[in-house]
Amino acid sequence: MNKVEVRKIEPYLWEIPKTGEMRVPGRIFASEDLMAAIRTDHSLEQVRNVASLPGIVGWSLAMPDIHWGYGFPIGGVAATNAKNGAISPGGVGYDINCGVRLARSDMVIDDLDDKVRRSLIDRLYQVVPSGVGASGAIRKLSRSDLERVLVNGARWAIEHGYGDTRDLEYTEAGGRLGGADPDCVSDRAKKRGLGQVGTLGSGNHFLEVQRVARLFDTTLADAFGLFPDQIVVMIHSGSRGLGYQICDDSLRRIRPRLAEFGYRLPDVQLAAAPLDSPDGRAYLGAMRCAANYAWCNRQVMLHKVREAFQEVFGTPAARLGMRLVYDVCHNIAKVEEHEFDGQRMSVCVHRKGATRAFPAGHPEVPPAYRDVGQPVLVPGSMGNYSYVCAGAAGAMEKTFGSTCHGAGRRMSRTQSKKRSRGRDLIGEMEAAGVVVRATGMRTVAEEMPHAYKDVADVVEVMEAAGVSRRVAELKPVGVVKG
Amino acid sequence: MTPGKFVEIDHTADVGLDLEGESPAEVLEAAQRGLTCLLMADTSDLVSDTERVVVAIADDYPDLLKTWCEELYRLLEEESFVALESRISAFDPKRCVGLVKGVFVSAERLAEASELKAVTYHQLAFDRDVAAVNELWRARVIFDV
Repeated sequence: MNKVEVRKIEPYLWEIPKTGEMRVPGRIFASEDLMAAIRTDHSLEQVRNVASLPGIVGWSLAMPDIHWGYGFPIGGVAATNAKNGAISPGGVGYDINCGVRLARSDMVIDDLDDKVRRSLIDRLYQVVPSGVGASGAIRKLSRSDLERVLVNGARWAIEHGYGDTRDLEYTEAGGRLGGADPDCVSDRAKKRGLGQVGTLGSGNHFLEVQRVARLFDTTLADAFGLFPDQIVVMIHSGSRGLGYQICDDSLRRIRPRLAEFGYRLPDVQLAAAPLDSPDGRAYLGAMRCAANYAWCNRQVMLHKVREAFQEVFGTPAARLGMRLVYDVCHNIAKVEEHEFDGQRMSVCVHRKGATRAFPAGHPEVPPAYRDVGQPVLVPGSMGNYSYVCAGAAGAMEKTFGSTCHGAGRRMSRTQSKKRSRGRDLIGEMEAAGVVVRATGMRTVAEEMPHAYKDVADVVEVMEAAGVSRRVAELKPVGVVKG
Repeated sequence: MTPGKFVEIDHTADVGLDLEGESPAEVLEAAQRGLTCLLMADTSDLVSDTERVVVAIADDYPDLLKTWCEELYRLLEEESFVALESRISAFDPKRCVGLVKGVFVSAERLAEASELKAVTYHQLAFDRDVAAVNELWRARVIFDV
């Protein structure tokens, strides 16, 4: 299907040579097998298209979990010069600050007998609303409270009793991006956001109770507070309707104005504006609001998770050792300092389905992890394993501090549903040791493990490339799906 | 007149619709049926008891299709209203008015629906197929789910 010229330049690195409108080469991290899968959709064309973004620095990058997205591929990274480069809403995606948060506990798998496990998953399903129109995790926000959420992010949640200040230290960017401007957010987006704080959503979003199944590096695991057979909780969600609306509003505004900016782009979904322009600043201000909303959303969900554990185990969550390991975003654009070609420069790093992976010593890594690098949370498919990794030095040299974000789909939703037809999916998951609670069977059928690449292959590639290191493998014992 | 048709199409992580009709209005009506089919697992037990007027305003034909779908989804997300049938009562390339018949559903039933993140611009198209013998109107729309 894919006719883009791509050549292998290192054991796990491929390059699309700079041709035509490309301003930089494309680079894809992948094994031979993963590259064969990548070639089956249009994602390589999208890597090539992204290379034409005004002000792009270095390369148009793709992680091994790359798949076909809108404009940008999912799994794409592009750094643009913060002075004269572009910012692209499509380079962030609709679910702004979709991300993952992992909480650890002092409990081990033997503390969860079958009855307790079912009670726990049932309770989590009740207290963390999911699916279309989900609301009611907390009271509907007033307009003024929403504006505070948009500016203060997870801090708003902490100030209102949904967690403690320690949680902020273990959240990327402290759970709040500065420069958020609620005036840049439409009324429609705000309206969608009023009732959805603390809700999971649908699609590939999930809440899982997991067990630490395997450690790859005991020193790193120890630093992150992880040990064998430990019970942990992973939450995957984003900025809900508010974020989707901000992306859509921005595309609608920017799309007709490309000629004014002097931009000629090969795909309308790549629509971009100069960072230093009223449109660029407006998107950045609104996008940061959505990012802050998402951090608040995941913080409130973590609080609800702690309450559920407390109820089921009859012990305060703090005494169960339920501490946040880390919270990472994987759909974001952030202005960061990076070195390229021997020059220190300020760039806007678009990570669309890619996770920040800062190594040991980076000042933005929490002090407790500064000797080992930031945790990188890489969810696998429902019912399969997920990974905790750590940022490594290669990330700063090769990927503007970025790595993979998940398994990456290899089968469409329709194909997955066809393959699931006539099967007892919940029964299969139970037989595999996973209790599933879902609002509808359709999402379960679409999200079965057969629809995804093996996340183990993805994290191995990034380790071999020196970008991130594997720390622990996590196996689900219970799943809540929207 | 034969009603417009829709076919579900694959996109790696998402879903879409290919649409055709003898008029733009038929395409939009087919989009409503296709969208409801994508969003709701089963509507066989639902019976229309309410009529709503939906107005979509846009820049051109493709944008009109996108906006029409967004308005229908808004009814579901914000009002728990499932559109079961529709008739375009007024139409020009930048505006349409649809009479939508459907039913309000419970929160539990709503939660079972698929969530749409967006009606995207990706491969968005809506035009008359002048190469076809009968010059049908054809459209494509991809939804981020």
